[in-house]
Amino acid sequence: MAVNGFTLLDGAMGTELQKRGLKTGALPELLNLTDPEIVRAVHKDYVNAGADIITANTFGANARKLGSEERVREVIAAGIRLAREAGAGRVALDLGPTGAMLAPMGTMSFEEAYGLFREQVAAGMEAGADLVLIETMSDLLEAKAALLAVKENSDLPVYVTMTFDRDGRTFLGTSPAIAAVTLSALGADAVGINCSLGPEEIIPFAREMLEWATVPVIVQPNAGLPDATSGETVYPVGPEEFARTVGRMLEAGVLIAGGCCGTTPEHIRLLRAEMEKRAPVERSVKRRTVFTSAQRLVCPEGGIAVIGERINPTGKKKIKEALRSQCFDHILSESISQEEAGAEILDVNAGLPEIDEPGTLTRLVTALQAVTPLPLQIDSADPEAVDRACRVYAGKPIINSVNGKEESLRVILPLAKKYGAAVVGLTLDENGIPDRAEDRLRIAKKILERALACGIPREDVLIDCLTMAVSTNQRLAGETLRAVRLVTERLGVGTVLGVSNISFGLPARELINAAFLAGALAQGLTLPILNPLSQRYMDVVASWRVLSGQDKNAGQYIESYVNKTVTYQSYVNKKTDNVMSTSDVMSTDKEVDITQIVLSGRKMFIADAVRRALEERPPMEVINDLLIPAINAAGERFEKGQFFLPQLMASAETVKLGFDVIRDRAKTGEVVSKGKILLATVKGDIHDIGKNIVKMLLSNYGYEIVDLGRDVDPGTVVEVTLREHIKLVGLSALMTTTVKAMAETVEKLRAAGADCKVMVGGAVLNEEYARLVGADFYAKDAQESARIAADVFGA
Amino acid sequence: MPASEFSVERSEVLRYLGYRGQELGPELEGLLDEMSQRCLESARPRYVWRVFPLTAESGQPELGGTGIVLRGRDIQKHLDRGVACAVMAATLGLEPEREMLRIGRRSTTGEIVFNAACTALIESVADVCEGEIRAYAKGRGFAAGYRYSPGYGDFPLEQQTEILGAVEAGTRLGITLTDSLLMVPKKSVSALIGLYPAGEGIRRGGSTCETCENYEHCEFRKEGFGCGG
Repeated sequence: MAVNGFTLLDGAMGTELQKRGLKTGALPELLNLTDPEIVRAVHKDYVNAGADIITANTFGANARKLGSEERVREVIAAGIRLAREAGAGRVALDLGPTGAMLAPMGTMSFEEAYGLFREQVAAGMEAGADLVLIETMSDLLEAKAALLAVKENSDLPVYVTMTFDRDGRTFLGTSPAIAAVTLSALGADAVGINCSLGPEEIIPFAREMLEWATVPVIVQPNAGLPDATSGETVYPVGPEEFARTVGRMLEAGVLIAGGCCGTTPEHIRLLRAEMEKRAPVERSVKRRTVFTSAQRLVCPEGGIAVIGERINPTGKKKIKEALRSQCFDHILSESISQEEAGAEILDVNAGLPEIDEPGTLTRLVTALQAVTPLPLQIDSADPEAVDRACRVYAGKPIINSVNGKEESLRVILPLAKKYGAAVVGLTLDENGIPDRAEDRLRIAKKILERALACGIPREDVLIDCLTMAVSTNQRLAGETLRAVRLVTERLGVGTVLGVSNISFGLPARELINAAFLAGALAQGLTLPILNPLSQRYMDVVASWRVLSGQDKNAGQYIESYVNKTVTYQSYVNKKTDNVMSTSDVMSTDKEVDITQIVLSGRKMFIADAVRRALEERPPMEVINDLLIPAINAAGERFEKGQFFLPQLMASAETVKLGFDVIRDRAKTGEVVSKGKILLATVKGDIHDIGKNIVKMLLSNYGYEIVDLGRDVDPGTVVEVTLREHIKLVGLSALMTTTVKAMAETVEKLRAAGADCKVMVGGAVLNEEYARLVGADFYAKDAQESARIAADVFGA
Repeated sequence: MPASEFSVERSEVLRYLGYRGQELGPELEGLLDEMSQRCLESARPRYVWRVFPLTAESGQPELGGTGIVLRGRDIQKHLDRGVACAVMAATLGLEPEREMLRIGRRSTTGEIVFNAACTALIESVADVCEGEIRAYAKGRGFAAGYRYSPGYGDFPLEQQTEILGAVEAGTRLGITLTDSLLMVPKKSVSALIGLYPAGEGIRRGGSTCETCENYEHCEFRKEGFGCGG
């Protein structure tokens, strides 16, 4: 069937239908039912032009657009049949995007998208499709949902193409290299580029894919881009130019080609002639250890990459609280801080015994992907948590971890294979962690062999030789380092090592950790797991990159350190540790100070002022007599029009920093909260700025805010309200279309017997609407929400 | 379309923030500059437009060749005597939304200023797009009307799907719709612009907030009060 070892796809359907006078409307797939002979005639033209594969007219045939699964089956059955009747060699079930954005940027859940694709795949199987073409994807996660739907529900070959803009990224920021790496790893049979631009413009994208894809590469460009200012859609690249230019990509190693928007049977006929006159190019893809997120590719080849360790509840009170309350703000901030400090990958661990770890880790991974572009390392001992978190991850993650135990190998390795993940193997087994480096190497070797047997490529296996506290056994630090060397040299795989454990039980831990880190790097460690907020560790990393040659000509190092004096916080006796700075800029009259600082929004001065006030008064007095009057003064100015919103907010943020000082200093059990308030933007709504303003203001009055974010399921609101004994729930909605979700949330709270008041706010709400949705209060603005809270909590 | 071709006007940013001539301190001045800059850096402004002949087989205006019938009395009145209709869509892309989440993790003040800067930018992008349509109309001896979007008056928001489909805003710009018909990226605009024989009186939507061209993106309205216009 194939031409000379190349595969020829067909060209555009839409423009051909329009040529025949059809109104394509919003759902061109319906033409399979209403005008089958015309659809068939277009297919026939492509068959006659020599296309090996005919793409059925099923691009948007999903239940979201067509209304029901039954309709999906009908339209897809007709689509496949028409292609078959036109004499197609092979018929591809065509899967386009769902038309909705996945959470967290949009509101569609991964499983919802997966469900839509699964119905299409089932219909395609039933209708006898020969393969599946997933195309025109912008969202790597949506492409993954479609790909998993195909692989988990059929045995058909599957090709995946994405569409890129002029800057070489999809609309969601994915590069051709990221797409190639991630989709190859997930098991696509071919990956590529479709739609986008004209053939000339996509040549660099195709070259990038060819460099990274471990499977054949596809191109299906448009016949150029229509002139944006002409008012009509005329595609400028004719058949000769098209075929000639795509021919150049065949020479570069592309194996599968066809056309997208604006291409015609003539474009395809001439492309076939290009295929007939040449043979496929042998392509060898370098095997490299590489990790991706939807926006970032990290390849530590010939060097090291830093994994940030801070998203882990062990020993961290605020992270524990965040995981329990499902309010991830603090964790998201940690991810940003680590990225800014130089982390290249983030370890994510949500392991707390009392929570639903699989659900929490999955939600956390989803939330993190919105704020950090860094690839993630999914860290869990629970296979279900690993499975679910990998599933919703848009990229090629690292799984942390498998170990030498039979049970672990049996369960974790297939997950790594299925999700195309790299996997960390811990050198321990049923007998625990061996002391001797040689014995750890033996376990590493076993893990590697089992991974290879499972179809995981060598470059995706990483070994953790395990750090043990030097305070319990001094000999073992050396054994760990020796094991890193042995694994690096004998197995030729990358190594991971958490450095911080080494200093457990010792004072000034940073010093020991930094020395151990340098030692481990010298033994060949490629992926240190550490706290990137420690300047000391990052200095070691930057220095090592010069010594190892990763930092070419020490360029990065010089740029970072020239004109800088490296100073470390000195280690002073704890008893006399006094971090208070002498702030002579402010007068000593605290009362005046705090109000002035707050009104001028000068955040850098508030912490000192509050600390000084705390020397003389109990925390609750500082709150009630200093901070709250200050924010009230700002609120008054706002109401009088002397302040506008950003000024009120700057004051609010200043007060909040004051509260943070008080909370950080509070002894366990000491009450510095006036009560807990839950805030959420309702299901289906993603406009949350109003809610964020309310949150900032309320946190200034001493309330503890549990912010569930946006697009929040009513069930989650109920669950958290009951668990946290919330007395006041604030809900926001922007659109008339989402007010019903607000009513549903209130109704569910009442039905569950939650002992709480509900206040609502948002652009389309008013007193009457608030009553209709069953709320107790209507908050017309943030100031009003503070009055309501005072009412409810009797402050 | 690099963002540098568009601008974020400080006066517009302040207007969206509800500014009424208060004294700006150096902190706020700095924040306005920083957030406008981050908005321009993260945005990937894009727009697309197409002109369709107007037909009226069913009595209601129809975008010729697409089968899309525009429903409601208000759009019918708006396009009355129109000979053609341009459909436009514009967006800043998804990156500013990620940027806003990051900024919001650090500072709500930063978040609201950034949001206002993005609103100013998407309006300026939509204005550039509208300008092209006006030039196109003028070149063909037509006068262009005002932007009119699904959700104005009784022109159903449900038609957003078809309107975006008419210019392939999904594949060309990456604009999607949620089940509750919100556009994602949020900083996106879709609109119809009627083309009329030159000299015809051009009808504005009306005078109420609901029919305002900026209804959907109006920050005043989102904050719970109108612009007073």
